[in-house]
Amino acid sequence: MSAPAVRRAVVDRDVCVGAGQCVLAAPDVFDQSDEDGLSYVLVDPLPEELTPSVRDAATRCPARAVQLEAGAGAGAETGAAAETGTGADPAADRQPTGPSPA
Amino acid sequence: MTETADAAGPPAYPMPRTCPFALPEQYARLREEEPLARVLLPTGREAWLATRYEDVRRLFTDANLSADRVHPGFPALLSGQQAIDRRGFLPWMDPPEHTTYRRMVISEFTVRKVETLRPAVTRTVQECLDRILAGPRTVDLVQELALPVPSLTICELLGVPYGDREVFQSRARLMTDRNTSGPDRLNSLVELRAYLHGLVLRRQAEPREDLLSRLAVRYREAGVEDAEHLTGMALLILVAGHETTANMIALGTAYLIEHPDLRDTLVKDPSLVPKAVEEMLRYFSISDHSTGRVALADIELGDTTIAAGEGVLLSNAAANRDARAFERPEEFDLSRESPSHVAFGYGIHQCLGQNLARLELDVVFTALLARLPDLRLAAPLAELPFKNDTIMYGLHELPVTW
Repeated sequence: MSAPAVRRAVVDRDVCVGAGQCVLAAPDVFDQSDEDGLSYVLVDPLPEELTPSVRDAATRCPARAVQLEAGAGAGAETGAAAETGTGADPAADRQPTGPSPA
Repeated sequence: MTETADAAGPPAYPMPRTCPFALPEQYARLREEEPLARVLLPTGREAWLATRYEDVRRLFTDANLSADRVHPGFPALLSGQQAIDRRGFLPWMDPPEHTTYRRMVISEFTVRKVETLRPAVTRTVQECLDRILAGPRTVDLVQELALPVPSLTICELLGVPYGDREVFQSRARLMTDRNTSGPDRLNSLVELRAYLHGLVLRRQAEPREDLLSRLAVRYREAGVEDAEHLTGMALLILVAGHETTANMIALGTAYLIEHPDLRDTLVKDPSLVPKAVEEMLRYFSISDHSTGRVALADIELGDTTIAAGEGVLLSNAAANRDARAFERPEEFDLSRESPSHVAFGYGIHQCLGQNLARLELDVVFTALLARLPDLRLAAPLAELPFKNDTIMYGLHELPVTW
């Protein structure tokens, strides 16, 4: 087998509401901008050991703005969907805008 | 006549609690048997009540549910809310208006920004405790600690000058005192609004290094030259951050006194206080009665349709004790891993001040347990005036001794 799939943490800053849940859940992965308070990703690609904290962040994010992307071009996985097994998560339909602040 | 379920119609809401730290007994039955139930509001209207964790989270994020208190279908618990000046009140707005104004204030409440308030909050808490320890050995902890801490913290946050704090404090106290008459309560709100309006005008004319000044600049940059709107935002920060935190301090203290094992654990290891705070938030869910929404379009949930125009109450208290989401939900458990509770709501309206609330509660309980570890109730628990009659759950008074 090849190396484990590269994962990326992604914040959709168009829907982020600045509650700071991702910073609490995964302080090594997310921070909030001093400028606008919206969250952004600190590490890309995501080190494997930080994956659980990003799932936690995705579950807790009230705007469902946090996603865990599995490799380039693959579909996004949200923590809520991963935990509950529901396929109807509205966040899954959105296109993430990228890991860094605009 | 014997009442039957059919003849009785839907159960009345709010539902009574039989134990101050337990939820209304009907919640557990509804959550299992009728997770989306019809209830009768005090206004005589009916609404839906959602009690399961997944349903509540799903509905909180539904764009077809509006938070607009002025909508005729909104499930108000009190009459007359429509008459309140709502300008600046984020929790009552829908997108795109909500998005615009929330974004103006988000950067003031980031995890990092809030942390910079810790020294000021600590000083406030220690000064309150100094006064308590210097006075008679029986005090009302609500008046001496629970209310002053958030009130002075908000003064600090908004940039209310020291000389004005007594005016601010006294009006805020009148607003939250149950002995204040209706007209006096309204008058104190009007006076606070007038005071904040004056402060807003001063900061608009001459910005300083404080939240109101920065907001004034942001409003201007966004082309909103509306002092009334900004005043509403300031009033929201006061109202939303004042009695809520005070209720959590009072309830948490009463709970710790009644649960000596838990209190001893925290006295021995204060690093567990944040975990205890998180569990208090889940356990008390004091905002249970303030999470109404109204459907703007038909919404399907399981086999049920919430029709456009109907009201829905999203019970975050019932959701936070749903065994599908929390193991042994009735237990107060410091070992829970992730605080995925919905005590601060969920969706775009989730409490913006939640990290400030966490900070205040952390500082208060850490200091209280260190300086008054032998605190006792000065009246039996059953006789304490719990707020069964208000929108936010809590305690009107908490007489304690040591």
